[in-house]
Amino acid sequence: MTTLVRTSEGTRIVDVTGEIDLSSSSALRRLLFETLQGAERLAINLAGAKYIDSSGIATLIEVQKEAQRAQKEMVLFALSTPARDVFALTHVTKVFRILETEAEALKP
Amino acid sequence: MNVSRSNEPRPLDVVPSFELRIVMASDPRFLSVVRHAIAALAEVLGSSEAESRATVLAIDEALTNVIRHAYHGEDNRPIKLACTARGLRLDLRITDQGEAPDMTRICAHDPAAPEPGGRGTHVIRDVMDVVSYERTREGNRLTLRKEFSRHA
Repeated sequence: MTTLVRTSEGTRIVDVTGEIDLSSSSALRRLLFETLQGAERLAINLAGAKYIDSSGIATLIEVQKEAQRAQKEMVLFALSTPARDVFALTHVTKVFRILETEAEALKP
Repeated sequence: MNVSRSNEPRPLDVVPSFELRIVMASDPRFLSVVRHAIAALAEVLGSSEAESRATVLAIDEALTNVIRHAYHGEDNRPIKLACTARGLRLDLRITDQGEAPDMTRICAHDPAAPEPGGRGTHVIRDVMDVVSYERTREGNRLTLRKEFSRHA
């Protein structure tokens, strides 16, 4: 898994590429919590997520709960087909705000 | 990589079969190796991409549960995976020597609730056709079966 953190129009964007599983989800968790600390809005780009397991889903839920606690916004966008399948299989599609494009993700 | 398949019908007496045995340490870095092997096998058997992905996820969740719950994150304990493919059927046995699974925690949580944990066993149950936990002399054994649909 590789990640890239960037800023666009006041939103911190994290591009996640590769496989998110038990070997990488704790590193992703650390990065997302750190990034959320310095941001009002966090948008996570899953276009390059070739795989995500339930530990990755759990990580995203933990970060979202922290965002809600801190009254910040977190969105997901551009889910890859494998990620979309896993979100459906794990019944979390309605747990997150999921958008199609980065342009949509930048709109408050 | 896509494998091109001949349109010619396969002779009835030829049933594809394949056996794979993996003995791995409970190190999460090896999960990717297993996933890629199972995905490649599912493709050869003729499963759809979606069915293959779901099956790979279910098997990965089962191994992840062994690492997290049977071995509590220890990365040097043995996990055995025996996988037999015949026709469109995939049979798996996952054996470990860790703590026995707490059956009261299996599928105990609502997966649609916005809480972090508890989804792995739901995925395994939803995707696989047979799921059976037992304690043997060798240790904990999880038996899984998947019957792939015939994919055009």
